[in-house]
Parts: sequence; C-alpha cells; structure tokens
Amino acid sequence: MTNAAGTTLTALFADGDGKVCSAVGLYAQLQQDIQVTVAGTGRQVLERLRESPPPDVLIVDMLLPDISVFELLAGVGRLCLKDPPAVLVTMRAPSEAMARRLLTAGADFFMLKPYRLEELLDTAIYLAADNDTLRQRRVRSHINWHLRAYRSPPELVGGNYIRWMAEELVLRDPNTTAEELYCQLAARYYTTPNTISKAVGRAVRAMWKQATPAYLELCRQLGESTDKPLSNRKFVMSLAERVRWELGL
Amino acid sequence: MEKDTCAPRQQHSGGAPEELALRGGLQGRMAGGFGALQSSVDALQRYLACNAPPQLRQTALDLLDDMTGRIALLYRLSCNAARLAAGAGMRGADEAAPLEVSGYLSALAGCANEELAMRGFAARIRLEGAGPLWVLGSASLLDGIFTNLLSNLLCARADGEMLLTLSPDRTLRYADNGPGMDPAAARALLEQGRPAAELLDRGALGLLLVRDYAAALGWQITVEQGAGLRLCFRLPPQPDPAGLVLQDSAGDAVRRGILAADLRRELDGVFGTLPRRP
Repeated sequence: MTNAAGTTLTALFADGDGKVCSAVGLYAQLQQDIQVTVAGTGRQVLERLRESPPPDVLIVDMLLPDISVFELLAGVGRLCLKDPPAVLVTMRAPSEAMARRLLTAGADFFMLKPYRLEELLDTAIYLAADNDTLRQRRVRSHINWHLRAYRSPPELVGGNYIRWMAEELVLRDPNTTAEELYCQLAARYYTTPNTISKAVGRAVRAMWKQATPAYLELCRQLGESTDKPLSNRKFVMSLAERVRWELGL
Repeated sequence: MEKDTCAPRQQHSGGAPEELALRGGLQGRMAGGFGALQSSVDALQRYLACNAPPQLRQTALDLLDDMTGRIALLYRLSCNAARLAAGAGMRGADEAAPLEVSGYLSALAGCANEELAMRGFAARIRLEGAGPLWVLGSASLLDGIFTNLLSNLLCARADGEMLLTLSPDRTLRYADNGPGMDPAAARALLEQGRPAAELLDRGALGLLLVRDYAAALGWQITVEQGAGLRLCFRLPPQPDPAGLVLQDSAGDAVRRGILAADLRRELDGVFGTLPRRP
C-alpha cells in the first residue's frame, strides 16, 4: 500500500507500555503494506517528528508516561509540519466526552483498547492512504505553509479568502474563474464580490510589501515584475497549481 | 508491567481530574492490561504463522486462538464485575445529556443487526413506535442495558428476536422470543435487584447490570407477563428544554464508534472473536 507520494506507508506507534511496543514492532516486521517504528514517550514522538520526515500516520496511546496526549497533539500542531501525519489515538475507557475532546484537539480517529493488531494497522492504513478527509487536510496544510512563507498577515481577512479559493481550485474544479469564486464567497459571507476582491487584493499587496524570498521566487517563476503586486487571479491560481503539483493531484 | 509514572504527566495535564479521565478508572486499567496481553498474542500468532515449522504451526495457532477467546471472555466478565462494584451510576455520570431515544434505538438496531449478520446469527432487533422522545442521561448507560439484554437473548437462542416498542406515554417495552425466566425470579432480579442463587451460578451479572443502568437513568423496570422475557421501562418526565444544548446522538460518529465497540466487546466475550483473515 502506498501513500499519495507513491512510497510505502509509514507509521509511528507510541505507547507507554514497552511490551505493547515490542509486540507491535514484531507484528509490523512481518507486514508488507506499512512500515512501523515505535516510541515509548511523547517527547520521543515529537523529536522524531522534528528530525525525520513525518510518518503518514501517528498511532498514540492516550496515556503516555511523560506528557498528556493533549500536550502531544498541541506539540504536533506547533511543529507546523507541511505534511502532518493522520493521528489515531488508542483509548482505554469508552468515554464519549474524551473521544470528542480528542477529535477536537487534533486526532483523526480513536480506537478502544483492547484492540487486535490487525484491526489497528488496517485502520492506520485506511487513515494513511489517500482518502478524502486526509487529502483535504493535506491541501490546507500545504496552502498554509506557503502563505506563512509569504508572510500573509493573519489579521487580514483576505488571507482566509485566499485559503478558501485555493482549496476550491485544488480539491474541486481547477477551471473555476476568480469571478466565480468571488461570487461563491460573497454568498457565503453575505457581502459583495467586489468586497471579496478588494480584501484579497489587500492581502496580496501586504505579501508583496513583505517581499519574502518565497514571494520573489514566485514572481520570477511566473515571469512577473516585482515592482507591483501580482494580480489576485495570478496569485491564487499559482498557489493552487503549486499545491496540486506538490501533492500529485 | 506498565509503569505508573503519573507525576511528570500531571504537571502537563489538567491535574488529577484529567489524569483520572485519561486512565479511565478500573475499566481503563483492565483495558490496558488485557490490551497488552492481546497485542502479545497477536504478534506471536503472526510470527508463528510466518515462521513456525508446518508440523507445529496449526497447533500453535489454535492455542493462540484459544487465548484470544479467553482474553475476550475475561475482559467482558471483569468489565461487568467492575461496573457492578463501582456502581453503574459511575459510568456516564458526568456525561448526562439530552438524548432522543428513538434515534438512539435506530442506531442501536442498525449497528447490532450488522454485527449479528457478520457473526452469522439469524437474530435481529426490531423497532416499533416512533419518537421523538427525549430523556436526560448517558447514551453509554443505554448501551449497557441493550448489549446485556442482547447477549442474554443470544445465549438462550441464536435466532432470537428482540422487539423494542416506544410509546407516547414514555414507556419502552422490551420483548424477546427466548425461553424467558421464572416470573418470581425475574421480578426479584430486575425489580428488586435480588438475584436467586441459582441465577447467579448461571451468570446473572448481565441482567443485574441492566437493572443498575436503568436505575442510574431513573428508569423504572417492571416485568410483564407473556412468552419470553418482557420488560417495561418507564422513562422519567421529559427534561425541561429551556437552556439545554441538544445533540443528536443517533447520527454522531463518536457515539456510533463507542456503541459498536461496546457491542463487539460483549459479543466477543460471549461468543468469541470474529475469525482473522488468513
């Protein structure tokens, strides 16, 4: 089984019980459809995510010996990974409140203990393979990564409009025109297409003023002068095109 | 053995209450212990399936399959015992929320009938009557009532039928076509919580739990006359809608996930786990 990039799926399994880690490690050695490495603490997980390419899926027990699972999920979020892993949390007691809290904190799925290893890895493979929710999350993550590189000011609402427009172009119809996207956004936010267009223009102008290396490189690739901001359409279309290329869509 | 180094984690977490919630109490500890056992069995099974000499392979795999079945049985029994010991009210005591009963029963029937079909049972759950009928309570307590009633029926009759009828007068009637119980023993067990000694010997933990869970929800049980086991659950008055935040449990993925896990645990513990892929 392969991920979106065409390489074998990878997973990082973390549990405070060393024997469970050993069992998963042994079981996984005999699996061909997913490569699994193990960690015994939350800090080890964060170190691995910082130092190596992130796995496709992170399987973590909610009771780690050093940090709480919520601290770990927050730590994963702070890493701002371009390709964050899908997160599967293993729970001990069937608490609806805890499950909802985990899903809000950044987990994608939960599984109750005791589980069968076959079921655990099947679920991990399902999460790691290219399914719709994961694709959407990765698209958003890539868009955000680029906007951070351009230093898109977070206080400008135009940045949010750019995110939405780029996501629509990547996930739905790449041939949608900028005017059609303005109209959709205007209906969504009870405003006019002109207002949307101006807000996007302000955000693009703010990024042009920052003149980050990433923005300058973008202008060079498009063959555009850096004496004035890119047009809204060119900026959003090129952002969408780049993300589509990176994710192989 | 699992290390209980909670002090460093408590500094990062929300303190003792969150720590307790993360650990999941007695059931959580058992889930962790049985989970570690099951993981070891699974890993050994996989290893032997790939590496054991042919003449030993089947024997070894059969032994490990048997261990899996016993783990499921022991986990179910220990969960039921822990819940009886702790009091059913502990389970879901902090998760009471407005719950629409007909939607819940629909989800239960869908989940259960699918699980039964996968296991090759001809048994089914049917629903009659319609909602909406709102109560204030924890859906996990309802899970406990109906998973225990279902496994109780299946033990007696693999092709049994469970009929749940919801009425506008806030009663929920349960009827099955199993062999039923002695009416006096049934009333002593379910209405008064006094199981007869011979019933305990045959395993009445599940029905005691049904009574405990119903009591925790504020539902009154009466045993009714007729073929099979017939119960009438009288629901408390409708909760005051003012100020309540409603959530539709029936359509919720988290709810369904927990319901499916509860059902599977109960049925695994009684009838063994579903066969693995070769």
